[in-house]
Amino acid sequence: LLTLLVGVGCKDAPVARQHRESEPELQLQQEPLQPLPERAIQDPKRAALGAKLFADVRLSANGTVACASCHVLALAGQDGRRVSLGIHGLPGNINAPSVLNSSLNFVQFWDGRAATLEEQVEGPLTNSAEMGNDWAHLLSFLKTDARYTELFGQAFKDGICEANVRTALATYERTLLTPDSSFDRWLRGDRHALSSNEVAGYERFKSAGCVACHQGVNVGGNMFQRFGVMGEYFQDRGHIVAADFGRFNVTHLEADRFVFRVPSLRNVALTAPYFHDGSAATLEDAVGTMAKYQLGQTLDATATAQVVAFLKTLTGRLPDAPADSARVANRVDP
Amino acid sequence: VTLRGSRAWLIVFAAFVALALCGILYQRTQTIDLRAHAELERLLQHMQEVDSDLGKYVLASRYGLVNQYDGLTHSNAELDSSRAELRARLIGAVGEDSKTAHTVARLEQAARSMHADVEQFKTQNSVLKNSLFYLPVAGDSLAFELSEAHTSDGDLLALEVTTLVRSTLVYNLLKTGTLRESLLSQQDRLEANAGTVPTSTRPRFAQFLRHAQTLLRQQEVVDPLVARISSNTLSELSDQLDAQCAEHLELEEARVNRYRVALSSLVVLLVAALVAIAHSLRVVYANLEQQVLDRTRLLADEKVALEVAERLARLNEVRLNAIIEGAREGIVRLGPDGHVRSWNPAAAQLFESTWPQTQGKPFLTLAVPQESQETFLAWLTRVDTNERVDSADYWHEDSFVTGTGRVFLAECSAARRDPMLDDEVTLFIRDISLAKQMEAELSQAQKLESVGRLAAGIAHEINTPVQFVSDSCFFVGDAFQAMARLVAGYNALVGTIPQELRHAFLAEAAALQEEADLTYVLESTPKALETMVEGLKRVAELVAGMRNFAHPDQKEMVLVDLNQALKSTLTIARNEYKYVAELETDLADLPQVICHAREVNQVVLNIIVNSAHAIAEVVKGSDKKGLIRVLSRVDQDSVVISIADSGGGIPAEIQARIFDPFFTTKEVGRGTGQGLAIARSVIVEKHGGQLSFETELGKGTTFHVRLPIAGKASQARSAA
Repeated sequence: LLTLLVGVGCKDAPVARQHRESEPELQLQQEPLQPLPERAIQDPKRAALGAKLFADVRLSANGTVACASCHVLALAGQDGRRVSLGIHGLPGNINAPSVLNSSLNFVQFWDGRAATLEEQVEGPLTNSAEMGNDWAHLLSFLKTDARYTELFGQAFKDGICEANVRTALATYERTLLTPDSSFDRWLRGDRHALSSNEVAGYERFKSAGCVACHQGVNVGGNMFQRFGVMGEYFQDRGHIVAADFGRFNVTHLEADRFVFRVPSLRNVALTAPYFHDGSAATLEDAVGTMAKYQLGQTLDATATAQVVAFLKTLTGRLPDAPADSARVANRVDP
Repeated sequence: VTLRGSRAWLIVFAAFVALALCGILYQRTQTIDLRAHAELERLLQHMQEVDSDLGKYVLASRYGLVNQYDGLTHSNAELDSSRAELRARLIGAVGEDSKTAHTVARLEQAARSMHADVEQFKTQNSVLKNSLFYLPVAGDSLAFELSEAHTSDGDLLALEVTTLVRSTLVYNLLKTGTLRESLLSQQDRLEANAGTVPTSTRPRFAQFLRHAQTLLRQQEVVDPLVARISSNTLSELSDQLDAQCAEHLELEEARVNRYRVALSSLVVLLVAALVAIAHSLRVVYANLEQQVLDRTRLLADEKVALEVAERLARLNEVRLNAIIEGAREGIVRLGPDGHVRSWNPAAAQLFESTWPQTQGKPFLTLAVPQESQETFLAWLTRVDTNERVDSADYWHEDSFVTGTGRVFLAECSAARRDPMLDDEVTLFIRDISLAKQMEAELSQAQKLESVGRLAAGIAHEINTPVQFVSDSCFFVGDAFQAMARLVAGYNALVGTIPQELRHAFLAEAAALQEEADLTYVLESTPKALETMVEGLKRVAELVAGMRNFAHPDQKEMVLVDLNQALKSTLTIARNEYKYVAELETDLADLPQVICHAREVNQVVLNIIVNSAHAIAEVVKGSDKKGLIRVLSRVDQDSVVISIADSGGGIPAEIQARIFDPFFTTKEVGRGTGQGLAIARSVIVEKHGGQLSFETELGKGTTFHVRLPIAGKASQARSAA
């Protein structure tokens, strides 16, 4: 025993000073856009549980609205409305962003107020114009449900709790990628994946400066930008509401007024209407507005058509709706 | 003991204190959380790396080497998460320390502003890049359009535009104050000449100008951001923090090292103490070994002693068993419940029950007859309860019963109970019926002897009167004969007198004669006298027999006429047999035999008496009489007297025992059981003769007494 004590007490303190494994080196002169990863590996039990939660209308206060009601996977993760309708048919104040590829966004919501998907979960759940629920109510519902009790028990050591609901939903959402778009195939070297017109559109997309903001794997979603760089969009549109203030609502810095997270253009052909206010009904409209207010340019019809053709190649393989989402009421308009 | 106890407690206490001290010191040496230090160090290093990455990314993005923000965004997120965990890591490594806390606050602030700068950079740089891309394109097409207008102003303007594009691009790479001044003046000049631009080109012109202005403005926004981001503020701060932590660690280590030295010293002391304890233990062990050796030897001695004791015990047991087995007294052990535990051979003989039959049976019902059980129990209880037992009570005399139902008188004593022997009772039982009978016989014999002696005296006294009465009788007989003849003569004389002559006197005489029945008297008196003589003769014989029988003991054997002896004996015994049996004698001529006449007489008498008794058993209750035949004959050099009776014979089962002393089949008081035993002793042992018998059930028994004519000596000689 004493020898052991001496040995332990007098041993040299090994101070770890080794370098951590180096990060991938700076990659220069790449294409500004990068293909999506083929799949996202996540905990299958948690993902399955998240899928069930995502599709369950009982997560809302009155059992009418599920996450999937506004983020319809078949509609590329959104609902095709200018603004979504919550419980009691209440309209929201902003266009629903797609849930697809949302894990690749650097922050969540148009104004970036949630740093992670887990943080994001709370927003729609508790928004009175969305699902109108609260945590206490939700958790007590989940605990009375034998199936959820069982699934949470299998997926988590501590069963049903707020953090695990967040984790399950976020885990599921991380699986919602749309790989294998024709543009990604082209990026990966399939020269026949795009037509010459579409390639021309991509070149135009880059030369026109769109790519200054819409870049990276998610073709956007990794930075903030002011809506109206080269012109005053909101002044021109009129009827400015609080939702238009964007990031200002979070930081209350004047510099952040009208600043939004740059949205991803993945599957953009399927996610009309466009912009946070859903003001652009078509891609052509959206491209025109962007060119005018963001790039300070006017694109002629050919260029616009080329860019739109390119944007359509960003549509990937949509994920399958979860098997037991049949019970999701795809809400009927009131 | 108290001293040793308290000392032991002291040692235990000291050991406890030393161990506790060790524990405390060891605890003190473990206060540095090296893992936390390493973690903090790694985090700081990571922040520096992220800082450096951000700088590189920003520069690359700014100058078009990288055209997307994914990497930058990733690094910025890393920076933010590193910043978030910084404080917790710091506290984990060095605790609350004002110096490092100050530094970490600055570091956090720097990281926050860096993070914001990066986000701002992305936003602003995008605008900058957009204009940077677009300006040459817009400038080219504008210049072309202006020169197409074919005005001198147009060409000039086109040149101005081209120059502005070139200047702007140069300025983008090479920011100098003069360049900026000329750029601003070129912009101003172009703006001033806006009026000369053709109307159709005017929007494009305005757009170009706006981009040029935007470019310059954004550059002024972006470049300070780039400068800040690529500065080493963050790295320097984290270096500073690292240094402070290292310093803290060194101080801690120095402190811990002091504890280590103390711990080592304590350990050395404890080891020394252990060695000392081990040494003293060895000494104690050696002592203990010696003690064990001594003790072993002692135990060995004890073992030998034990073996000896065991052998003695076995020896005693064997001896005791031998005594119990060999004792003539019946020794019976009873359990506390009165059941038989052991039963020695003497008891088996006494009670005519062998050991296995009686094992575990209650003694009382087994061996004590109903009527004496109460007294027996009372006595046993007195012995049991250790009441004072006087010497008379020590032996209990009572009747017992054998297995075959024979009741006999016995004396019984008991050993008192001993708890060590499980309250056993040991009974010692001795048959005293023989002694009792002998006692009775003895008194009878004494009585007989005195009667005999008296009878001899009386016989002698009687002999004389008998003699002269007898003589007188002979005389009276003779005289009567003469008298009868006289009377007859008278009567004949009277007859001769004629009837008429016969006087009345004579008639009276004749009447008197008639009255006296003279005829009968004359006829009967001689017979009566004969009978008297005969009676006297028998009295004389009886007296002679009595005198012979009761003749004083002869020490030496003498020549005896056995026939004479037989006759006198038979005379004496007549009284025993005369009512039950006729006597036949067939006595041959015998030579005189050397013997003790009296003893042989006694033997014959005993046999005759037995015969008479045997016949009496058979003829009892009837008028019949049995027969006793007495024969004598000479057989070679012996005389054989045979006495046969017509009794019931001797049953086969008791034939072997009839010569045993005290064996009798007669009721108590009638026989002593000694007759035949004495007879055998007399004939065989004293005279060297033989006593045998033949018997047949229902027919009778014949005893043969064989006596050597020449006596025992001659027998011995001839045998030799």
